[in-house]
Amino acid sequence: MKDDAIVKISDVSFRYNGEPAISNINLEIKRGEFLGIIGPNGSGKTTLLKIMLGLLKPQKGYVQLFGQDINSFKDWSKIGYVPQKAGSDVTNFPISVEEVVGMGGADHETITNSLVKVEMAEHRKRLFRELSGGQQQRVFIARALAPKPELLILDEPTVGVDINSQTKFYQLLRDLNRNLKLTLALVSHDIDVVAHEVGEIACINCKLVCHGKPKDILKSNFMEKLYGKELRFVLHGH
Amino acid sequence: MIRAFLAGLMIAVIAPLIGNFLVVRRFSLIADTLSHIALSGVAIGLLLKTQPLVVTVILTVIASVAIEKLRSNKKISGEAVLAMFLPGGLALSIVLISLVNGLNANLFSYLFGSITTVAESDLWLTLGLGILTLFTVIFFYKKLLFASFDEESAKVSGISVGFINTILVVLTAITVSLSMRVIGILLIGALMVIPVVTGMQLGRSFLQSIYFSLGFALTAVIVGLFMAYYLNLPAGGTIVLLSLGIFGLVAFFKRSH
Repeated sequence: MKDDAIVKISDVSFRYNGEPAISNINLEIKRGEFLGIIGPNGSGKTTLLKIMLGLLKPQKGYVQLFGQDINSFKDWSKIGYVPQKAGSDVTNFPISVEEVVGMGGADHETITNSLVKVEMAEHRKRLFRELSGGQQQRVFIARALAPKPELLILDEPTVGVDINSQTKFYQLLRDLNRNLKLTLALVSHDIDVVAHEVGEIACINCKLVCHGKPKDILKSNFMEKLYGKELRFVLHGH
Repeated sequence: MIRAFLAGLMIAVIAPLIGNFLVVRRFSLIADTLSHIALSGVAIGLLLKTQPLVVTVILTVIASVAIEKLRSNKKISGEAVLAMFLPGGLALSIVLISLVNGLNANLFSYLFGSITTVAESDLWLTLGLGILTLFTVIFFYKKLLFASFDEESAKVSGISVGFINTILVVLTAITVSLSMRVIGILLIGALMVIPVVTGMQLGRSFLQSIYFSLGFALTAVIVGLFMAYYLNLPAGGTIVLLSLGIFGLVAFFKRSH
């Protein structure tokens, strides 16, 4: 394995009840990269993400994180995870912003620093459920940043977030990637937006359809393979 | 009365403390389920002429671990697991009670709580296990909170969510068992939920909600036990009605401000 590959997915396959979700996927995420993992709904993106996070065990192939087999990997503080939304129903959960950021064990100073990075420090005493979708995503990023990870994995982070907040959100991700040298892997079905924000794209549709620079992939016929021949891009600027 | 009062104070602390984690997980029905299993423990204790509280703690802890195992393998939903165990516990209780020659006054006091039947051994067990429950929650507080709020992210951060969830259900089982003497088997679920829901109306954080719920539960238990003693009322029913009264007052206060 090359030294700069911090995630290595080798020949990984996974089936749900006999139906293949992903098949023979090989993919590397290199240090400092901003990778967008894209594909249509049901293409296996989330399955791949869960395998990368150790939440699912692949039935075939193996995953290495920071050069170590995922089954013996213990240093999970190197990986920050930003879910699409909280697992619980937040409308009935009286939890403050600082409690969300600190639930992984962060102290007061780390909570403050993490909230400053995502420009949410002034909201620390507010109830999490009172925030907008975009603000909630920023708080999840702050929580993921608290243990000072080297890799940040985001699952469809802008679903339900308005377009203005999306623009600011991607600006924040670019800043984290450039200024903090964080490696980012973002799963999304929104090829149009992601292609303009990330440095590399991996297209998944059960198999790895393509992997490379967005401009090269958008020019090629890979997108037809991924989304079908009827696909037509309407690019909107960010 | 003194023994009931001390046991009541301990329960007023641990019942809403555990209840906060159950309510936010939408899993508060486990308290009622375990209380029905606790009734079987009482019946076994009476049948074997041994201390019912010890048998009940053991039985409810075993049942709680079984519930969590079934729930966590995701093949049966958590709600369905509780829906199986609740009537199962009641059915076992009915059969066992018929073997101890039906409902007697002692069994009746377990169902609805009594301030005159808390034995010294019950008090020491309640205080010992209560303090253990309290310190376990304090020790695992952030992990319990993380696993309750976002189980998947908690797993990714390296928390053993299965272990934390098992701790929570075992502590619930202990709390239910300890509460049956003062509050009563049929009413303990209420003390784990009503002060919690009341506290959540006012809390601006999870910790603040816990403090509010402890305050409301302690008020209901202290006033309820005095009322039960001086007015000769059943303790559990009085405490639960007071908790509902406090909820009504808080809801009215919130609406008018």
